[in-house]
Amino acid sequence: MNQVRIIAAVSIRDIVGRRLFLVVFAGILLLLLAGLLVAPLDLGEPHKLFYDLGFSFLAFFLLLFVLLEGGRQVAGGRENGGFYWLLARPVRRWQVMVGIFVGLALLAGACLVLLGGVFVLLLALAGVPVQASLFIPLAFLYLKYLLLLSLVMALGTGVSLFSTIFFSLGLFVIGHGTAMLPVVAAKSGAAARFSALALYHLLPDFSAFQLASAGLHQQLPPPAVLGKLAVYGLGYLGVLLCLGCWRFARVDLD
Amino acid sequence: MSVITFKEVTKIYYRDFWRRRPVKALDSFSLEVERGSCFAFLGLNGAGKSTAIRVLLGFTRPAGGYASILCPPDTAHPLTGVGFLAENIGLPFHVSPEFFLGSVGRLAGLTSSRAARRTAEILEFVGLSGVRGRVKDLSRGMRQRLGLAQALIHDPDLLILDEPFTGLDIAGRREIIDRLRELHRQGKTIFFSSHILEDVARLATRVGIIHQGRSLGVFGAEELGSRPDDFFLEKIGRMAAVPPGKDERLR
Repeated sequence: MNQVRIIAAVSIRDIVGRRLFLVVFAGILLLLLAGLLVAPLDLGEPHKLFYDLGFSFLAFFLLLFVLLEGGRQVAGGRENGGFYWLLARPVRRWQVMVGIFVGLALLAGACLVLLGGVFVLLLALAGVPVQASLFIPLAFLYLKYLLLLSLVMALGTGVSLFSTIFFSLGLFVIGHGTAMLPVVAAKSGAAARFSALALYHLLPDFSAFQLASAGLHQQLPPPAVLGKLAVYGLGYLGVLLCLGCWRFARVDLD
Repeated sequence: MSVITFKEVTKIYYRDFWRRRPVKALDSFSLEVERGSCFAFLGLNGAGKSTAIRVLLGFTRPAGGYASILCPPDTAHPLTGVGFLAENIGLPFHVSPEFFLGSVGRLAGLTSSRAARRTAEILEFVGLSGVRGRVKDLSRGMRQRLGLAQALIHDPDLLILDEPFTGLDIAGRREIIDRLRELHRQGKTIFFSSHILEDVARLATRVGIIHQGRSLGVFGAEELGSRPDDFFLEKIGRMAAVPPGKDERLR
């Protein structure tokens, strides 16, 4: 556990020291503030535009963070010899993967708390009633990007940095349409039906974690459904992380 | 007693994804390094030096044979008493050298206070005390010194250094050689690869030569003589391979 903690701390310090990270963080903060300009616009629902924009900015930050840093820490580390100094110590390879994941997850969480805090504050300033139902979509947004992070890290153990980002982004986009696959299967022939259903069960369903609108309208699914969604997200994340650890333990670091 | 053993190690790389173009980086490579020696590992570019070191440390798996490090029986991990400097070490660029070394020390099993003390000592030892800023702000030579520092932070008995003089100027090379000599006098085993035969002659007690993935033997450092380049080229067959008059034609 100590090794995991140290590796997580090094990952966090290395990312926080990067100018790019700070620029992106500051940029998202500015975008959130700039969102106040459009807050008075009423597109049928008061403050809907500001609310949607805020969530989009937070999601955009997490997407950039997970793709760039998750890719850099694993695939980039493999490419530039970044694991040699770590693995020449009494450290197991799974500890490296888990340490990096924990570091990135904690940092992403801290950023989301800061940016989300600013967002909620701005919502309150814009006159939107701040209720507990606003925080549940934020929590599931975090879980969604942790799931993407485990996907990026698992892919990063086997392919180059560019391919990791490319395929992760591809799967992320496709994963938003996973829920449509049963509909496609119902209207297809036997072979296509089998393929569509296989993909439906195999690919992560990222769209299920989008609860922003439901949160605004206080129409969140019942707790049992939210619980199942959390279990699904954490379970999928765990499987991908284990897969990444298993792959990383066997990969040749040439 | 051998502290490092390579036994019939074969490592094959494939040049394409479909594994159709195999290249033997190590071909039944065998070598033994005695405890307490300062062993230079020589070879041309692409001879297989770095691959052999990576196999030894478990970074990559061989297709055949084995490589092992002798460790004390009470150690939980085979690399507990090993310090390693890679040729292309990817240091975390955006942290300070002190934080980096402290973390490495704790990973190696030192307590926080001991790691902090060792960090100060080792920065002094490699000539980086007083350096401020982040790793990315350091020059190439300073990063190489930091790489050496991370290998030494936990006071290992065995040092494995892949091209430790890369990026150092003449004064820096001499200083690091003096430091490594000092460590060797303290009883450490040093296994290093280098292209710079002048440095090898100054530092090593034993010399092993690898060529095209095969071991060409182990020699006493005194056999390098006053012209180590000639000795090395003769051993890998390059002196004999150049027919008389070939130099003229090339010119």
